Amino acid sequence: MSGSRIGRGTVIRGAVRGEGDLEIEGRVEGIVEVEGELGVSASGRVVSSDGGAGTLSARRISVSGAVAGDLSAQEAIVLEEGARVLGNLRAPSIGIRPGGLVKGHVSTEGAAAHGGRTQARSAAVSPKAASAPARAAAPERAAPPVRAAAPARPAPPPSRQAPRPPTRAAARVEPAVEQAAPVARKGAPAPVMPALKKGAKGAMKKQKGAR
Amino acid sequence: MAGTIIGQGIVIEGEVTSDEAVIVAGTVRGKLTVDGPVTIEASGVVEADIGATSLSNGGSITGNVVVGDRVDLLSGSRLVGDVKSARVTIADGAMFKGNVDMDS
Repeated sequence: MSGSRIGRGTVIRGAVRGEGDLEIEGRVEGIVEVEGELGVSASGRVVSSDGGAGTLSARRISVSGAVAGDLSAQEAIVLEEGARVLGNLRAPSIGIRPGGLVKGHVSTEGAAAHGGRTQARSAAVSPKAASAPARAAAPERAAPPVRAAAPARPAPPPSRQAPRPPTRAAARVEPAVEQAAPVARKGAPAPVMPALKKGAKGAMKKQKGAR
Repeated sequence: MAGTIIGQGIVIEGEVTSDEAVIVAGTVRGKLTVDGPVTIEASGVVEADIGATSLSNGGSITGNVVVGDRVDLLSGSRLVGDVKSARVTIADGAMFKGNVDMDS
C-alpha cells in the first residue's frame, strides 16, 4: 500500500494497475488504473502508446500536468493550475481551478452511481471519447487565441505597419499558456512602451524621405 | 528523494525506461531498462529482462540481467535467468538459476 512514484526521468509504455497511491512525475504511455489517489505532477504526462488517448482511473485524481485521455474517478477529479487535459472527465465531484485547461466532455453524473460505472453511461460517453483526440493535437494551441485577446495592446496609432505588431504579440504569448494570468498582468502596462515606436519612427522617416 | 518507486500492489505491464534510480516493491512484467541503479525489494516481482548500471535484488526476478557495474543477490532473493555483469555477489540464502558472464 506504499505510495508509488513514477519519477521525472521515467517512461512507462503499457499498463499501470494496482492498489495504493501513485504519483506520476514522468511519462506514461498507456493505461493507469489505481485504487487509491492518483496525481499527475506538473512534469507528468499521460498519453497512449500510439499517440492517441490514454486512460486514467482512480478513487481520486489530481492533475497538474498534461493528460491526453479520459479521466474517471470514483470520488473526485481536481484539475490544478497548469493542468491540461484533452479528454473526458467523469466523477461525482469535479473541480477545475483557474489556469486548468480542459477540452472534452465533463460529467458529474457518476454521483448517483456512487463510483459504480454503469455500462449505459460509458457507452453514452464513448463516442465522444473517440472523437476527442482527433479534434486537437495540442491543447496549448487551442487556448492562445483566447488568452492573446486579453493582453492585446490598445489599438495602435493608425499606421501602415499596424497589422504586424499584434501578430508578434500573439506569438510571444503562445508558449506561456500555463502562466496565462501573469502574462495578462504583464501585458497590461505594455501600452506605456509604445510597441510601434521603432517601426513608426522608421515609417515617419521614410515618409519624410519620400517627401 | 528522487527516482521512481513502484510500490507494493502496483503492477506494470509493459516497458519501463528510466534514467534515474528505480525501486521495485510491486510487479513489473515486460522490460525494465534503467540508466541508473535498480533495487528490487523483498516484495518486488520482476518478470522482465533488466538493464541497469547496478542491481540489488531482494525479491524475485525472472529474466535476463545485463548490468554495467554490479549485481547483488541478497539473502532470500530469487533469480532465474542469465546475468551479465562485471561484478556479482550472491548472498547465502539467495536462490539463483542461470549463467553468469563476468566479462567486462
